[in-house]
Amino acid sequence: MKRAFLPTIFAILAAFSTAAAAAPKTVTLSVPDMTCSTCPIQVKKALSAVSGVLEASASLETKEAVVIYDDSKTNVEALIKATAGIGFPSTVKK
Amino acid sequence: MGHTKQDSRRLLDSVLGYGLINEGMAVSVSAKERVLGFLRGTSSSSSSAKNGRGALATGGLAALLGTACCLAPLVLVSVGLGGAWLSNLRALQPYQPIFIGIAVVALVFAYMRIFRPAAECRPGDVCALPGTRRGYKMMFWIVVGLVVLTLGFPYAAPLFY
Repeated sequence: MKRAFLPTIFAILAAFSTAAAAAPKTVTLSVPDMTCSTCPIQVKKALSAVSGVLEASASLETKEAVVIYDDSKTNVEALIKATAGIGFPSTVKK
Repeated sequence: MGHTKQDSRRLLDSVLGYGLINEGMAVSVSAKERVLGFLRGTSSSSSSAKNGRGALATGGLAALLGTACCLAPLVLVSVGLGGAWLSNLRALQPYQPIFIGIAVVALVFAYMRIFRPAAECRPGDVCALPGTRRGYKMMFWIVVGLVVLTLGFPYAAPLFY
């Protein structure tokens, strides 16, 4: 019991610290192929389906998608892969 | 003498009905149909039925092609069947107005065939038997709904962005 005490404390602290580090991040993707009226809805659905994405929206006028995601669960590459996976190649807007 | 078509029909009814009343409606209907068809010089009922079915089929196919570019991919992505190949469907987008135009024209013809007043229907027409007529009517309205959806969705879509 005593031997497991300190490692347990550290494990709990470590768990809390990762939770604190999981900050929501926002990224804007440029999706030039969103030309049809329903395309932004498709992109939004595909992005929302990625685990770790908190919010996604897309615009037909600007051809961009804004994604708020938990960067401990997913990353920009996964988002780009998600849009490319339904036929919409995308890049991070600089 | 100034006989209208309706007059001729009534005269024939009395002539044919007189001798055939005991033989059942089916016989008198087909005999009358043959005589009237000959008098009218029109095509047979089967080709008219073909026109109705063909118009509805053309309308349905054109409507489906009209949805292929925009609505169908949305449905596929929603159920998780999306794929990179969906970008190929976007190639149909410039032709969407043409497909919808063809669908509307075909549906007008289909409407004229399917929704005829029962008196003008001949055996074998799409509008003849009440059961089949109901079926065709239902298919007609489904295709119309598809066209309306395709035309109207671009206006509703921004609500979902």
